[in-house]
Amino acid sequence: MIKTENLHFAYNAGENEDIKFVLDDVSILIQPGEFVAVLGHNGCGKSTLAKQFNGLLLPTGGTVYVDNMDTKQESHYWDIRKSVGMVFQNPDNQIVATVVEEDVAFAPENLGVPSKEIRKRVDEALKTVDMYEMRHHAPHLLSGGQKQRVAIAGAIAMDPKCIVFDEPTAMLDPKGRKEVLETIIKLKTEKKMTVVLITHYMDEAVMADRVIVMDKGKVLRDDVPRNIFSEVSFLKGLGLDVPQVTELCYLLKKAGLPINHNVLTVEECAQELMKLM
Amino acid sequence: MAIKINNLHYIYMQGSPFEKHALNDINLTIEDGEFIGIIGHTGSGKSTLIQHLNGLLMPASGSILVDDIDITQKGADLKKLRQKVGLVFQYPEHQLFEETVYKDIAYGPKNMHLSTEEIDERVKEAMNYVGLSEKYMNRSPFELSGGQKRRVAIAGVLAMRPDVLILDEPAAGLDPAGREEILTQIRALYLARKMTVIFVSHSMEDVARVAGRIIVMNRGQVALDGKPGEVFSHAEELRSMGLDVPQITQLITLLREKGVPIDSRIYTIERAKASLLMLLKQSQNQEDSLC
Repeated sequence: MIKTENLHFAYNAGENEDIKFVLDDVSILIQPGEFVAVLGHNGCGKSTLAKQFNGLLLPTGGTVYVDNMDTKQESHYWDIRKSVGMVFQNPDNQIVATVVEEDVAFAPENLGVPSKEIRKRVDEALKTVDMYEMRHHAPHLLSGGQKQRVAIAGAIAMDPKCIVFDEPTAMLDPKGRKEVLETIIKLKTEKKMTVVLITHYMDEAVMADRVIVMDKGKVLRDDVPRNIFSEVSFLKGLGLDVPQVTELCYLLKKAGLPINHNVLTVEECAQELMKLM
Repeated sequence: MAIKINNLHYIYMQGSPFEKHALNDINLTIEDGEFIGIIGHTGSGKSTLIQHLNGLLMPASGSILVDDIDITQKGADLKKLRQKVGLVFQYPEHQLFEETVYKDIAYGPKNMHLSTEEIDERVKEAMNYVGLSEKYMNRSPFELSGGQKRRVAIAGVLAMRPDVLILDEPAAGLDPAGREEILTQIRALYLARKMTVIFVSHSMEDVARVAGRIIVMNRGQVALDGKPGEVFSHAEELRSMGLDVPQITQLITLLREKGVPIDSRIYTIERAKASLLMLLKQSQNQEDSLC
């Protein structure tokens, strides 16, 4: 679905001063239908990478292919943006209309979709994010989680193959976070969409099929969550968190207990501990 | 500086069809020098509550005594109150407005009509507290990173040398390293200035790390109030209020259900580790003696 080859990117590439690469030789492959989380602290280049995935930013060096289309070729712009939708951090910055369903219709309208088809897509998208009942509401009166789900419905209504989420839950409360995460997982399992989730919350990354860990513009790890989070001291060194239960098992192992610290959930941890009791 | 809240009620848009009873009979005493975490999900009334503490909102009924003065009475000196009780809003960096970091932080003390020397001293002191080096003094606050901007905004409140510092979600939107940094600084500030700190958050884990007392708000009422261990031992209740309990608390609950005799008040990794090591050693010894 998305492939980057030796991707380099610098915001000041055109200037003569020292070029600082925000993305430094990134080569990754995201398969259709995969749920990939990109984990890293602020300034590690993860949002810059996300913007490469639908051509909002273009490579300084190397190549990005979206559905086999090179993002640098101008003739592909529209098709690329139709294939990859984006949802950003702040829901307030993404909502344009005064009625929920009109907001969701905004993108397909601009793509020139026939109005009958728009109606169908908007209804379906709102049902997917569980906001159909609120389709006539004013977006500014919704909660953060609800607004973010409307933004997701807007992306779905474009009928993309892939949606890139750039820290979609950073400004939400626990309830809103849960709503948005459940929606993301539904997109993957029910709609078979490719999902890229940029986040610094490890509890969200745990749910992905694969986790890419970034630091200083480089990809440091690319593996399944279980293997990623077993490297407790490595992640902590990068300023990232690991699940509390993983850390607990890791510490118990260090204290000499014969325990497997490859756990991600409370249930798994309890199971491991009960073996020792 | 003690704060006493008696039978506090607050109603938004009273008398309109949108009327909402946001605070319902709140009774709290906050002692001098406490470090309090207020948690609750969105809409639970926590922000409404703290806005009463420096007179930004006036209650529908009830009283608030700050240093034995009822601030809800007509004629109460709210300007003086707001210098004593400093409030840092959510996303405070949105409120920066001056040309330089120095001027922005100096805005509060300047309005207190202090001498130039005094202002200068306070600005430098405040910058030091939040860990901003003096080289940023003449920079525009808008050129700084998100975390730095937030520290400038907090310094602006500290420069007024309040006795009570209230922070609404100071770590919202920061990454784990940024959260850690700001929590550590608030904790250090609390220890150095011996001020009362009230910290509003919906992250249980953050609150558990820094606060000595936790107040849980739900539907405009105080649902729980106590030491972190006591509050977290009500895991089921907290979850029914839409709050996340720390994973360690969840683990302890699960282990207790399985019959493991472990203290329900444990909520940190360190204490869980120590307790588990001790428990396992005991069961090891028992097995050995049985053989």
